[in-house]
Amino acid sequence: MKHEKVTFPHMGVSYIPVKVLLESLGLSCVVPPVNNPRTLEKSLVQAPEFMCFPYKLILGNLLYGLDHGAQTIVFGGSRGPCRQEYYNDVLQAALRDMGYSFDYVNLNLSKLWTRENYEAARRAWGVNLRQVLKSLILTVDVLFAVEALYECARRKRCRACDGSAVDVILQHYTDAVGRARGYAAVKGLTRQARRDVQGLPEKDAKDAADLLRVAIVGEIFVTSDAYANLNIERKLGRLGVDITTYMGAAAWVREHLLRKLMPFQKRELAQELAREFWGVDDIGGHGVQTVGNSVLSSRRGFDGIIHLYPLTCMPEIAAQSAFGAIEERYGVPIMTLVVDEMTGEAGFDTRLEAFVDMLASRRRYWATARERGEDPSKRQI
Amino acid sequence: MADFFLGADVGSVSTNVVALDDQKQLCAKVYLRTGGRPLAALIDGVRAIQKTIGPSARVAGMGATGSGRLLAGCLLGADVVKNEITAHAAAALTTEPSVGTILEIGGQDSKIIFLRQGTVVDFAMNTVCAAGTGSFLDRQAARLNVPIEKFGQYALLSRQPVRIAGRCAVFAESDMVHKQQMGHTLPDIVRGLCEAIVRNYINNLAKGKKIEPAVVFQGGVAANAGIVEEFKRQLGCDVVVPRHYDVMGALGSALLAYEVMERKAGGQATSFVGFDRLHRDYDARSVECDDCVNACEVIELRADGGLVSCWGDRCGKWSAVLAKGQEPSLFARTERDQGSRGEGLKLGAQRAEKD
Repeated sequence: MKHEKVTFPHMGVSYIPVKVLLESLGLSCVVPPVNNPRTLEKSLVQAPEFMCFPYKLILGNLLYGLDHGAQTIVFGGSRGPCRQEYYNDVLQAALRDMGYSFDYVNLNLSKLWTRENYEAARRAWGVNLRQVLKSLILTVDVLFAVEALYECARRKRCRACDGSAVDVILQHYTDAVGRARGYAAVKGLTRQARRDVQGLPEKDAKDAADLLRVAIVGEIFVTSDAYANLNIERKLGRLGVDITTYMGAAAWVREHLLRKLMPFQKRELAQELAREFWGVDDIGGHGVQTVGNSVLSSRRGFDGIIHLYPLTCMPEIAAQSAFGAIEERYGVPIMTLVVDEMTGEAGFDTRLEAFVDMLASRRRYWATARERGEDPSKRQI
Repeated sequence: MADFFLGADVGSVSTNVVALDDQKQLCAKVYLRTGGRPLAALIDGVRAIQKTIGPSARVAGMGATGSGRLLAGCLLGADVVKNEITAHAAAALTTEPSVGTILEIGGQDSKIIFLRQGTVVDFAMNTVCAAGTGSFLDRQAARLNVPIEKFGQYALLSRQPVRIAGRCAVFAESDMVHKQQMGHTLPDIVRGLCEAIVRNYINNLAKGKKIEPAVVFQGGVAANAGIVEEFKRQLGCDVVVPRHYDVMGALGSALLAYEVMERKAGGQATSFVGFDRLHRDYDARSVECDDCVNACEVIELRADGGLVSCWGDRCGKWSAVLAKGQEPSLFARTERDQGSRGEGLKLGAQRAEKD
């Protein structure tokens, strides 16, 4: 087995399982710091202006990795009519034009179970099937443990007496994971952090019943990356909102890895639900899922839905056009927020705060609707 | 001695302060240009209010709103710090209880608020760019050499408005230059611009949602008669411009403060700092925290050299240290670093007005 250093880009907290995967294959990783303003310093100069924000962050991560001794890049590309399909080739060409030389391993994330992926890993690092399978199992285990931790944090932030305590624990966890090596250490830290979060004291149960429930839908990268979405989960959580998200690495693996193992293939729930408003199966990226998840959240009785996407994201712009009809049919407000490289958070905060205020006042309005002779089940905007 | 309730709206373009008496009647208002210095504008505004209501007036509550509401809240000790949507709705409901739709065009953002039975049920704000807002009008007025106060009157003189692209400020500007060179008159161009702004507003914000009467138009741009006329024409209904249209945000935040103080049990005192403490020397600046990769820009607010408040730390640890009454080590640390860098980073005041 060759001994070389490997780097890979970030998407939210997916770096934790990816690190475990590569380390359990016997490789050493150069993990770029989680996305932050400095990630963009070099990449903004190089990336075309109208490229999407995720591309600029990914390029920044890879530049960091190569500048810090990595010889190989691992990138997860996917197939589907969105620009991300080309990022694989574009990133390679862009980095080589900048004068870097490196090996490039592309994993096809749309079809994780393909021989193609195994062959790519075998050619690059001389690993055998047994090693790959073992590492994959450990990785998936860590992936779901990390997901459970962050799910627990989302649940706790709005219920805890002191919501900021959750983020103090997560910050310590992030620091510790950065130093930890291998499956056992990472898994142990994740479990411990989850226990710590769970142990935080909560407010009265009575208050919990009054919590506003908001679903976050939209493009997978910005909904799952805390830097890209300006920490929306933390902000809403501290405003006392119970958040549900649908997109992320764990959901992806469940959809593209685990479900493919099932003997019967069923259509994804979000795709099924989107058919009420859209007669198409795919418009690229996660456009259909955005529509479907909005319908799902409306039916589940959420107070509101927040839709996030990076500026110029075509599939999400198309999905947005369905919102008028969804709002009219179900009476659940949907607010779209577009993110890009801005760090002036005032406008973003104002919109979130105003949205939450509005949801609270709508709740009060419908709570007294019967007295005015209005039927709450037929509510409309 | 009567009690007064203050409201401050620190926006990107204007800073407004109002005082209400205990009957919720407006008895003093100030409209100032923020001019990139929200701290100074805010203090000037509050001092001007003090002059009107008398030096011995007792303040019973204080509210802050606008993009600089955090800064205003810390500086003045606000009892309630609320976003502009909530504040504008509160103000509109008091002046026009049957309001169904609020149109608001401010310095750098525009909003539409839908209400039913006195409840906000939906709203929209402009997304990424500031085309079609007050700043844009300001700039075009300066370019055409028309005082912004007279902009609306010019528009009303027009007989044949020209067509101008309103979607993007850059497109609109090149359209205007072209129409000027073609020989169109100034009133026709100004009217065309008003038309474009209203068209753009209805398209981008209302997005086909039902605009119910009564329609109230507020914010600084409501002073522009050309825009008001254009809204009436394009919406096909009457548009009410309230008497204090220009300070509705501040008015709303004062009303919210009134409600908050009313709800407070046992007549708790306001957290307003008091007029005499405004004469202190204020200084805000930002410091980049290096403790983790987030690299937060933490703002510190000092009065006469003593630390009053800090914010902007995502993890909340520096704010927590200050809440315990200790001086966060971050600022001491950076003072030392900045000694070698020369002049300290005075970003605070600039950041507060960024939207």
